[in-house]
Amino acid sequence: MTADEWRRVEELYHSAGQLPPEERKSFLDNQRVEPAIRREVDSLLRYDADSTAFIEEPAVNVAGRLLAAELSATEPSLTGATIGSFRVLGKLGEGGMGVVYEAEDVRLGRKVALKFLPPRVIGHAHALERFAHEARAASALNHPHICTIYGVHDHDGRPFIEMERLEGDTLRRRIGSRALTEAEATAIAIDILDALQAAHGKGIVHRDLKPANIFVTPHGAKILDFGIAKLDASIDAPVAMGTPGYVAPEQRAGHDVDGRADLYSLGVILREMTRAPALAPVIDRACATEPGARYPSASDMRAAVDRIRTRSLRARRWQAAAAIVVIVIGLSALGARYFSDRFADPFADLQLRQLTHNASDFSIGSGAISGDGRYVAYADPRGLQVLDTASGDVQRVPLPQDGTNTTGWDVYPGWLPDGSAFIVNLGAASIETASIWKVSMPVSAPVKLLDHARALSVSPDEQWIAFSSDGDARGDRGISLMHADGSAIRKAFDAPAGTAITNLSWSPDSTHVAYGVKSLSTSQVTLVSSGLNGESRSTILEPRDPDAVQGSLWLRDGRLLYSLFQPAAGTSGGSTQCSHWQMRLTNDGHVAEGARRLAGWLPQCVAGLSVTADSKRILYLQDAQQDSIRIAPIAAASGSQRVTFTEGRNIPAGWTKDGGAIVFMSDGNRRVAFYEQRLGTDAPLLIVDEPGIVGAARLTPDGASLLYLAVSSRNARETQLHRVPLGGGLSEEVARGQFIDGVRCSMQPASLCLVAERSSDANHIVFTEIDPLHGRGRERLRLDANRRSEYRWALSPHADRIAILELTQPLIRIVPLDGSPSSDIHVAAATRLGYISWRSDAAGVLVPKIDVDGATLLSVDLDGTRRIVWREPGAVDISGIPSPAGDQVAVWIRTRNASLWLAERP
Amino acid sequence: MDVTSLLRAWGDGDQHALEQLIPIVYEELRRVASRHMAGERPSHTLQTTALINEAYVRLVDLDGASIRNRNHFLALCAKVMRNVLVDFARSRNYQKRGAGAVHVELDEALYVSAATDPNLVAIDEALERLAAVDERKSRVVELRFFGGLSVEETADALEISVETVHRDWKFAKTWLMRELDPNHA
Repeated sequence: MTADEWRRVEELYHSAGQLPPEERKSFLDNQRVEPAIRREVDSLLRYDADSTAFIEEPAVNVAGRLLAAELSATEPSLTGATIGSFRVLGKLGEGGMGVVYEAEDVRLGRKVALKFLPPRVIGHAHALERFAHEARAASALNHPHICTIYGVHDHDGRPFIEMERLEGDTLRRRIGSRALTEAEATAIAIDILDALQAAHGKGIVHRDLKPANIFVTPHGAKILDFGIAKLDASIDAPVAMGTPGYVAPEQRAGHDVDGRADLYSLGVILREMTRAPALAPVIDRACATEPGARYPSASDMRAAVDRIRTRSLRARRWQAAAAIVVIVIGLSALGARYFSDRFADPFADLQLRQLTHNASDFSIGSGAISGDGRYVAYADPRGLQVLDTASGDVQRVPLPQDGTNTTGWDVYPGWLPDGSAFIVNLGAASIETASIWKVSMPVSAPVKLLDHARALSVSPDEQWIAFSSDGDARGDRGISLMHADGSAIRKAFDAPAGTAITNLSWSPDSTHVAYGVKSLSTSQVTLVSSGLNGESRSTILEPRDPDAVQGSLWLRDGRLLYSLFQPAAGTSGGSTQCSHWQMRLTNDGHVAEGARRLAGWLPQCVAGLSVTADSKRILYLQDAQQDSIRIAPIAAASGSQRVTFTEGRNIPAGWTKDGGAIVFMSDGNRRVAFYEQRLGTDAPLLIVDEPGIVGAARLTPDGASLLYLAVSSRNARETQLHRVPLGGGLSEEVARGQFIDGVRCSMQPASLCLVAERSSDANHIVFTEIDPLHGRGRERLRLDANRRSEYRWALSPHADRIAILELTQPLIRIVPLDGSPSSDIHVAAATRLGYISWRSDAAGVLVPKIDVDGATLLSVDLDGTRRIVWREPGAVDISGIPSPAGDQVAVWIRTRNASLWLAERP
Repeated sequence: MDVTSLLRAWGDGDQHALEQLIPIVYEELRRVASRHMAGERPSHTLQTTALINEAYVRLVDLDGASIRNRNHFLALCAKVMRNVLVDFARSRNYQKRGAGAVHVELDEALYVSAATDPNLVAIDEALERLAAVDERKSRVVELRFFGGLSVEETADALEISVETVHRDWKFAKTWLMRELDPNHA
C-alpha cells in the first residue's frame, strides 16, 4: 500500500467511524474508492468498536500482573502442612503484607485464618512486638466490625497472625470493575465508621485502610490488619508505608497522624465504591488535604453518611410505593404535639421501621397507634389485631359471635386519647352496611355503638366522635356527633350541595373541624374549616388540580398537615409522589401562617396516619408490590406450580433451552440478581449478581446468555443493555439507550434480537437489530407512535414479525418485518393491557388484560380466538413467557399489599 | 551514572547504557508488580498512571530537566519500558492473547485480567510492522501503551497536536487489534 493509499484509508476510517454504523455503508459507497482501499476500510471498521478499550491500560500493568502471578507461584505453599496446632487447609489469598491461609486449630476445632507476614519483617523484633500489641488492642475492642486477632505466632522464624476466619469477600473484590449502589456503599461505610470510632477512641489508627483490608461478610463489613501499616512503616522506608492513593497526605509526608487519616482513606474508598452523587459532599470533605477540613471524628462522618442513607432509604421506599392514596381521617384526637415551637422541619431525620410483614392476601387495611405509643390497632382480612409495640406480641380482638358479618373492619377513627379504647368501623364502604364499634382495653370484644353510620374522628377533649350517617364511597354528605359511649347523638352540618366531606379532623380546642370539600363533579378538593354546626366556614386551601389534596390533619399545636398528590411524569400506573405541607391555623380555623413544604418528611404517599401523644412516632400504612412466578400449562387454567417464594420483585426472563428451568430476576435477598430454578425444585441458583441490574431480561436465541438492562452510571436516564453468559462470566455492555421493554429475541433456528426506542421526535418507535456480541446492527422497522402512549411489544419466534400494543387500547397490531401489511387483533376491553409475548408456536400471543378486580393472561390466536391461561383476582399486573416447547407458561403475577410502618424521631 | 545520564547516553546510541538501565527499570516493574499483589485494583487507570509517573519520578529528576529534555526523557523511558516489558513477557513465554492462564492460585481480579491481557510480544511485533508504514503511529503507541504517557504528554514528546495523537491512537489501536486477531487473514 502506498503512502497515499494509507492516508486515504485512514481518512475514510475516521470519517466513516464518526457515523452511526448503519450509515457507514452508504457513505463509503458514495466515496467511490478503489476496491482495495474499500476492503481495507471495511475490515478496519469491523474492529472499530472493539478496539475502544484495547491497550488503554499501560503495558507495565500487564507485565506487573505477569510478575505478580509468577512471584506468588514461586512461594512454596503451606497447604497440607501442620504448624503447631494448626492444620493448613488452603490458601485464601495474598497481599503485600503476606499470604493468608485457611487453617483448622485442631485443639479447639475451629477454623481460623493464618496470615504469614512477608520474609522482610523477620528480624524486626521490636516492630513486631509493637505490631502484636496494637493488633491485639484493636482486636480487644471486640467490635463486630473489626476482625478478631487470636494471636501472633512464629513458624520457623517467620511470624504469622492467627485471626478470625471470615465468610465473604474483600471489598476490593466486591467492587470489581463496577460501582456499588449507594445503599451498599453507605451500609459498608457505616460499619467501617463504627469500627473506626471504637478504635480511634482507644488511640488506635489503622493507617492503611483500603478495599483489600475491608472484608464484606453477610453480617456487615469488617476491618482487617490493624497495626500492620505501622509495622510496615517501622521496618521499611517511610515511603513504603500505607498504600498510595488511599494514604492521607500528612501520612505520605511522614507526619504524625490521627484518626482523620483513616477518614481520608475511607473517603477515597467510598469514591471508588460508588458514584452516587448523594455521597459526593461527604467524600469531598473526608478527602480534604488539610486534616482540619475533614470530619473531626469518625462519629461525625458516620452521622453524615447516615443522613444520606436515611434519605435514600426513604427515596427507595418511595419508588417502591406505587399509586398510593393518602387517606388521613380524623387524627387530631391524640395530642399531636408535633411541632414543638418554631418552623423547624419536625420530620427531618425520621427513622423508619416496618411493623408488619404481610403476604398479599393478608394486606393491612388500616392501623392506628395509641397515644402512649404502646399499642397499634390494625385491621387485616382476619379481623382486628392489637400489636404491643414493646413486646411485639399480637393479640387478636375476639369478634362478636352474634352472626354479624365481621369482614371489613377499619380502625381509622383511632384511639380515645386516654388509650382506654379504640373506635372501629365495620362495613364502612357503604353507609347502609356501616356500623360503629368500640374496642376497650385490655383487648375485649367490640361493642356496637351505632348502625348505618361510620365514625371519622375523636375530638381531643374526648367529648365527641364525629361520624357520618349520609354518604357513599365518594365521601360523606352529613356530619353528626355523639359521645364516646354512643349517647347524645346530634347533627352537626351537611356538606354544601354537590360536594362530599373528606378527611375531617379536630381543632386543638375541639371547637372547630377542618375537612376537605370535594366536588362530586370535578373531584376537586378544597380544604375548609368550620364550627361544629358548620358555621363560620373558612377556606384554607384551594388547589388547582383534581385529587391534588390527598389528606389533611389538624395537629394539637395548631398546625395543619396535608399532602398533595403528584402523578409521576412519564409513567402510567407507575409510581406516584406526594409532597407534604403544613400551615398554622388559629383555633377558629383561620390561616395564621401560610403553607410551607416539609422537605424532610416521609417522601412517599402514605395512608392512615396516626401519631403518639409524645409526638415522637407516626404510624402509617404503605403499599408494597409483590411479585410471584407460577408455571401454568398453556392449555388449561389449573394445576399451576408456584416457583418463587420470596417477597419483592420476581420477574421471569425466560426458560433454559431444555425447558427444564426458568431464569428470573429477584430482589428477594435484598439485592437484585438473576437466578435459575429447575422446575419441581424450590432452590433458586444464583447465576448473575452484579450491581445496577434493572431487569427487562431475555435469553439470547441460543439460550447461552442473558441480555438485561442495567443502569448507566453516567446517565441515569440511559440504560445499558448487558450480556452475561448463563454459564458464568462477566457481564459486558452490548448497547445503550432508552429502550422500550428491553431486548426481545427470536427462538432458534432464527437468531434475531431487537430493541425498540423512540425516535428523537418521539413520533416513531424504531426497532434496531442487536447482536448480543457486537451490539447495534441495522434498523429493521419504524412505526408511527402516539407520543403520549405507552407501548409493549414482542418479536415472533421466527423473527419475521412483531406484535405491538398500546397499553390502553384493546388492540394488538401484528407487523411483518419484511414490509408487508400489518393486521390487527381485537382484545376484549380492559382497563389496560400489559407485557405481550409470542406463543412458541408463533400462531398467537400471550397478552395480559388488567382490570380493577384482577389480572388475566390471555392466549390470543392470530384470528382473534381467545382463551384464558391464568386469572389472578386482585392482581395488578400479569404477563407470561412460554416454554420452548410451548406447552407451559411462566406466569408473572404482581400484587400489592399494604403494611404498617412506624416513623420515629430518635 | 544516574538514570538521567544513562538515558541520555542511550539516547545518543550507547547500547551499554541500556544494559545498565534495564535492571533499574526492571526493579521498578517489580515494585509495580508487588503493588499489584498488595491489593490495588489493576484496572484503575488513574492509579496506574500515578504509579508509572511515580516510577519515572524515581528514575529521572523530571523537575530538574527542561521541558524539551523532559519530553525526550519520557520518550526514552517509553522505549526502555517497551524493551524491558517485551523482553520480560517473552522470557515468561507469554504466548498468545487469551492464553494467559497462569496456573497458580491468583487473586481473582488478577486472574481475570491476565486472561484477557493483550500479548505484549505480539503487540511489539505488530508495532514493528506499523512503524514500517507509519512511524509516527507506532511512536504514539509506544509512548501511550509502553510508556504510559497521557495524550498530552505524548503530543508534547512527539511535538504534534493533541488532536493528531487522538486520531493516531484511535487508528493504531484498531489496526493493531486487527493485526492481533488470529481470525484475520
